[in-house]
Order: sequence, then C-alpha cells, then structure tokens
Amino acid sequence: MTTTQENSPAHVRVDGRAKVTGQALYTADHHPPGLTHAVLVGATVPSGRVTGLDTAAASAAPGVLLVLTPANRGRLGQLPDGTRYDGWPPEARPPLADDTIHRWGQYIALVVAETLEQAQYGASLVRARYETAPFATALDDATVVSRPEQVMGEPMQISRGDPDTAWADAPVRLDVTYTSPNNHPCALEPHATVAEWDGETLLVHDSTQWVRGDQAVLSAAFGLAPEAVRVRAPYVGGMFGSKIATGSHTILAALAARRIGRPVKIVLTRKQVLTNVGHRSETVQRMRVGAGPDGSLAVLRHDTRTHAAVNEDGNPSEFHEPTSTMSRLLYDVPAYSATHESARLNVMAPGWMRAPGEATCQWALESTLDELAYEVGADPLELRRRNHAGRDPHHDLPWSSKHLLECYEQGARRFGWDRRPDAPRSLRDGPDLIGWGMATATYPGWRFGATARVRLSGTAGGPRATVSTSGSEVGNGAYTMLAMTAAEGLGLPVERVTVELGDTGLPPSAQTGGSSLTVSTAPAVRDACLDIRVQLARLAGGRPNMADGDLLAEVPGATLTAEASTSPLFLRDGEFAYQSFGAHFVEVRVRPEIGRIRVSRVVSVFDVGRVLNATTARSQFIGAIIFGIGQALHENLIYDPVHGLPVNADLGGYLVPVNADVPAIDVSWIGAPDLAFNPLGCRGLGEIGITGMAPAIGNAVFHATGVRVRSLPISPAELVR
Amino acid sequence: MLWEVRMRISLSVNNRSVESTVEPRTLLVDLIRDDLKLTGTKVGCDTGQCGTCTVLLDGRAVKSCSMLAVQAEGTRVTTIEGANAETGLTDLQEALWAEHGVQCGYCTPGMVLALQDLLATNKAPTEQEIRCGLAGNLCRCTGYQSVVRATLALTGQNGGRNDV
Repeated sequence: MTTTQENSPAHVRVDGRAKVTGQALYTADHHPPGLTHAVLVGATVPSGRVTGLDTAAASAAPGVLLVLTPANRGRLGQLPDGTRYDGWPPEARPPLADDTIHRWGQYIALVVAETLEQAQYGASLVRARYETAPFATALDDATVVSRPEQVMGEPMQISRGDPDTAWADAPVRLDVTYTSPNNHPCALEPHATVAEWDGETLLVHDSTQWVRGDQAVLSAAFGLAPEAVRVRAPYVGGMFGSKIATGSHTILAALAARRIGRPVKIVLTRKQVLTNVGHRSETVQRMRVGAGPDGSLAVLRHDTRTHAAVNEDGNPSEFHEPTSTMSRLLYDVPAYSATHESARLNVMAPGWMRAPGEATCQWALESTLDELAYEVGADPLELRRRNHAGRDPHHDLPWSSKHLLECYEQGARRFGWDRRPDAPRSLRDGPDLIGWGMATATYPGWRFGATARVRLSGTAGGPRATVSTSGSEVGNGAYTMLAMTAAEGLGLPVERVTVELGDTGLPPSAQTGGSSLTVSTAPAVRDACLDIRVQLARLAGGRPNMADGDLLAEVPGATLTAEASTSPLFLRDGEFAYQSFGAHFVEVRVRPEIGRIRVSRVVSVFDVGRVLNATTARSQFIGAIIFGIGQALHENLIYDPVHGLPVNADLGGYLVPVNADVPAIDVSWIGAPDLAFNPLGCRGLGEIGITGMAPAIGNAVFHATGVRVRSLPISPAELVR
Repeated sequence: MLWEVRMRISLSVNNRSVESTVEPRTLLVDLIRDDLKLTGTKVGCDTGQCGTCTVLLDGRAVKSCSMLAVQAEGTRVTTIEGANAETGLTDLQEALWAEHGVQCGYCTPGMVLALQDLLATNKAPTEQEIRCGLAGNLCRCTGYQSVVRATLALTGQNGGRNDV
C-alpha cells in the first residue's frame, strides 16, 4: 500500500489480473451445455397496433426452436412496480403483453434457435402489419403533459419563502432557459442474459447492477419463491444506471428457456440498447434568478419540462429526470420555487443515468449563475462564495460535513484562477481563443443498506478471510474496497482476503447505484470484522486489547463467521442533511473560424468524506469528468419526429468521448471524514464528477468566445454564426 | 440454399492449429467466442466502433466483429488468451494493472491487443501516438487517462506525472 498526497491509502484492483487477462467472465461469456440463442424483433412503427404477425417462415427456418409472440407468450405474474424498491421492471407493461405499440423498437417477437446466426435469420423473417396511430417523440408535439408530484420520494412541485414578491422586488433579474437532449448511459457491455432452468429452479446470469431486483421481478413473473431464482453477476461491464431495471429481454430469456427446456442466451445489439434501455430524458429548464446588486441571491425559480413514456401514465414509480433536487439546496436562497412538467412521448420509458437529475440541474443552475456573475460584474467564483449555504435551506438542517469553500480555494489555487481576466475573448494562444470557466459539483449522500458476511478461517498458510455480499462489481472497485476494509478490520494483508459479489445466494445488498455500494457495504464489513475480533478475543481468554498478530494466532482450524448490516439513509435524517460537494475549473481552446472546442485542462476538487482507496477513487472521478465532457460536447440521442425512431442508435452516431477528447486532468479531494454518515466517514463518489462539468465547459466557452450557448451538446455551429 | 453451405477453414489461433467448419456468414468474433469458447474477446457495438472485439491477425490489430471467419483462413490469430505470457502477465498487462488502466474490464482485452500492435511497431510511442493508436478502442469508465499513463510508464516516459 502506498499513500498519496491526499493521505488516502491506495491499492491496485484485486480483480485486475482477471481483467487484463480476459479471464473475468461477463454474462455473455457463459456457455452452458445445450445453449440456444435468442434474437428480439422490434416494432417498426412508433404507435398503433399489430394487425398481423406472420411467424410461419421464421418458425420453419433452419434451427429455429421457438417464436414467442403475444399470441403464445402465456401468463406472467404481476411484476413489482418499483415503489417498494424491491425490484423494477423497465416499463410498467410487461413484454409481449398485447398487440398495441407505444414506441418504435418495442419487442413484438422473440426467435430462439440453435445458433446465433439461425436466430438472426429467423428474426429477419418475422413479418408484421401495423395500423398506425398519431404519436409524438418531440416535446413540442406532445399532447399529454403531467405534473409529477414526486420522484423517488422527493417532491417535484415546491415553494418556500415568497418567490413572487422576491422576484418583483429584485434589483437584478435574469430569465433564461437551458436545454439538454436525450443522453444514454451506453455502457460498453451490451445488456445480456443467460437463463437456464433446473425443474422449478431458475438460474440467471445477467448483466445487472442489482441481482436482488432481478430476483424479485423474475420470481414474481414466474410465480416462484424468491429462493427458487438465483441471479449471478460477478462481473458487469459498466452500467451507469442502465442496469438497475430488470430488462424485458431478461424476463423473455427466462420464459423461452422454460418453454424449450434448454438454456437461452440473449445479447442486445447496440441498437437495441440505445432503443430499448431507458435513456436520460431531455430537459427544458427555465431559470429565473433575482439578486441584489452584488449578486446575492434573493429568489430562484426553476421550471422544468421533461418527458416520460406514453404507456407509463399513472405508473407510480415512473422516472422523471428530477432536475430541481439540487437547485433547491445548493445555495443560500431565501425564496425558491420549482415546478416540473412531464410530456408523454412515444419513446422508451426514461431511466437513470449517472447523476440523474443532478447532472441536468447543474447544467442549468451553474450556467445561470455564470450569467449572473457577468450581469453584476462579479468573479464567478466569488459569486458562489457570496451565496454559499451554511446549512441546507430546503431541509432546514445543518450539513453533516461540508467543505465546499475549501474545494473552491484549493481548486482555484491549483488552476491559477486568480490570473483570469474577467472579460470574454481576452485570452489567446496563437489561433485559439482560450477560456476559463468553473462550476460547483454536488451529489447527495445515499446509503441503500447492505448485509456483509465475513468468514475467517485458519489455513496451513495462516488465516484467510472471505467477504460475501450480493452487490455487484460494475467497474466501481467493489472487490478492492471490500478487501481493503476487511484487511484493515482483521489486520490481514489484502492478499489474504477473498471477496464474493454479485450473487443472490450471498447476503442481501441493494443495487450498485446512487454511488452507494461502498458506503453501504464497507461499514457492514467493518462491523463484521469487529465482531470477529471480539470472538477471537474471547477465544484468547478475554484480552480484547491484544495486538493483531497475537489475535490472529488464535484462529483455530475451525471458522469464525460474522454478519453485519447497514440501514438505508436517503439525503437526511432528523439531525443532518448529507451532501457531497466539489468544484471544477476548466480551460477550453476554441478555434474561432470553425468553432472547434477542445477541453485542454481540468482541475477538480471534491468533498466526499474520507476516500477509502485513492487509486479507484481517482479513476471514478476522472471517468465521470469525461462523462461530463460527453454531456457538454458530444452526446445526443436524436429521435426522428417523422418516423419516431432514434436515428443514431449506434456508436458511430451516438458520440461518446474518445481518447483524443481527453485533456490533462488534476483531481484531488479534501478527505475530511463524514462520521455522521457512516463509521468509515466516506460518502459515495461514483457520480459527483459529472455534475457541474457541462456548465464549467459552457462557462469556459463563453469566456473564450463571448457566446453564451444554452443548449447541449454545445455545437461548433453556435460559435460561428 | 445459402444457409446449408459450410466452409472448412484452417487457421492458427494462439499458436494452436484450428480446423473448423463454418457458415460463410459466421463472423470471426463468433467463431472465436462461440465455437472456440475464447470469451476474453468481447462484442460491444456490432458496427466496428468500440474495439472490444480486437484481436491480432498476423500480428496486426483487427476488429473481429467486422470480419468473416472465412477471411481468417490461413492466418495467425492471437486473442487475449494467447497474449498472456506463459509465466504470468506481460509487462504491458502489469503496467495496465499497476496504473489502474482497468475499471469494469470490458474494453481491456481489446486495449491490450491494440497496444500490443502499437508497441510492436513503435517501441516508445508519444502520448499523442498512444491516443491515436487507441483511437479505435472506446472506454466508458476510466476516461482513458490511466491507459495512456500505463503505456507511458511501460516505456519509461511518464516521469512520475499524474495528470496525463
């Protein structure tokens, strides 16, 4: 173990060897004996009804074993609706429910065959006739708009103070509208399922961030006790929110496997991932800020329009990108209001994508504050300091731990912000305009709760520990963090700890989401280790203060086991509000003739409590910062308003950042432990890095060019008009 | 009928000679993954952009999702399973691990082989040359920094920098 400049321990990934050698097995790498392959057929109209589905040619094609359609799907049990956080289908309506079509790409058939090629050919032979109906895939075309009261338990229509009077009285007022397009998590591993039955027992290998969610959905679908469904996901090839819901393909793979009595594998094509896995929905955010002449905020009104899916209307757990969850608490604003409208579109039900709500909110909020800074002639960083919230104004609670001002100070120093001239277009380097911008990052403290089991066994080579919990390794570093936590807790080298993850047969854990896996699970591992130390001390005759080496010498041939759990905690309790913070400082270079924007330098400082592993933390921060570059400059899933399909549903058309887009990045953190949040003092850190990146880039583009772009992705065309 | 056609091909995979009977439409990646069960090679996009299916064909990196199996007739194919050193990890793999050029790991086998190709022709690539050499390999987790840093460290060029 080495120590970084930030005094956090650092350890290489314990799963590194399996990954650099290609030995880590992902879902689609499983080939059980007798395996068959399935391919999904999607609707080619965005709305209407299937009036005829001809499957005769497909059924007769070589190697085809089964063609599943609404006509022969059979009954599925009532799926959980997500409201109890036990399991989540991607859409309220189960797959292949009937002949109505709500969106382009909606599954209308599944073809199972001996080989992948035979299944693909069979799928190409399925012929559908449609009766089409009016549809909308653009916000402006929607005919039905709802006003959701809550998303994930947080109210969406809120007001505090007297926003009307404060707005009327404000000496400085800004009324600006920011938009962001549909984005997609687009993890590199496509969603995949391998399902096999043994009598009335179902084993599913699935690309999921929540094995227990899958278990709840599948056991409900097939009328089984949860214990009769085992879901495994020891390695997941990225997710970013897109593998929380149990995919329709997963339910259909299990159904087909039961029908033909053989294992079935489904791997979504990239086009199906971009079409049938929920995206981050577009937003239109009207921001009205009223302030004093020095930029002190008097009022903030945040009115959002986003979208949901037409067939989700009334589903209590549907997800509307919750844009106002951060604007309500980030700054000290006495008067505040937020409204939220959700248009009904003929698209896949939107889902979660890295920092859902926070990343979109920060785009609008932090860009607007930059505009306010120029309006009142203040430095953008100084404006944020003036409006710093000493306590959470929305929950009216003190923060458990907040070091945002230190993030500002440290970031500004590392970046050299004090050398920044205020005026736009005042920095040049040869043919390039240079711009410096900044923005605040923030993400709530969540803890979904987990149980971990630690087993300590004496072996010939000395004691070894095994940590077991059902949460998934999705790239976050869970294997490593939990091994480090147990090693510290038991006084063992990390190499003597084995971690088992991603299996419903292991102690329960919530989803790997909300930046919460480590903060939920590591404290449980720590407590289980303490329990084992007490057991050891008893064995040693009640000397709890003995040194690690002496304690471990007491490990008998038998095994000591302990389990411990953490409870859920969402944003606040009776005492504190839990929130992480950070600051991004960005330099861009713009070639004015062609509007080309390059991010050339990023300095980011985070306040996320104690960092358990500098190596994995740094990589998570950097990865999320690059996600922010994608949000700012590249990512845009475009629906054709005439035909209703996503037109760029592949990695050639849906642009994600590539190696050449990546600048020098200086990431650091404050590292002050938040011991009110959990005994290890760590808050989650997988998502905060994306929040604030898009506005920091937009603000830098304004500083470089004098052009304020209020729509994402920021297009070169906006800069050469 | 077309789907009844089978073609016999022989090639070398990871220094083992392979005789296989394939359909003309079978992709090289599906031969590797489904028939030979060498699952370290991945599929990520189906359209040749992501690079997770990268293998070496006669020593040069190719995207095995964009080639038919029959096109590999008579060639030497190296997959990630064949890229591993007999005694353990190659220096490149050690560097990627040590510099944390790995998160979810799904892009990693393709990155290893693309870098192996680059380093075979350029012993000391510059940062820009590394980024260009990996232009065909997407990663959604790491932000690429650590992969570039690992390659520079391997060739003794990083000089202790942490901000690459």
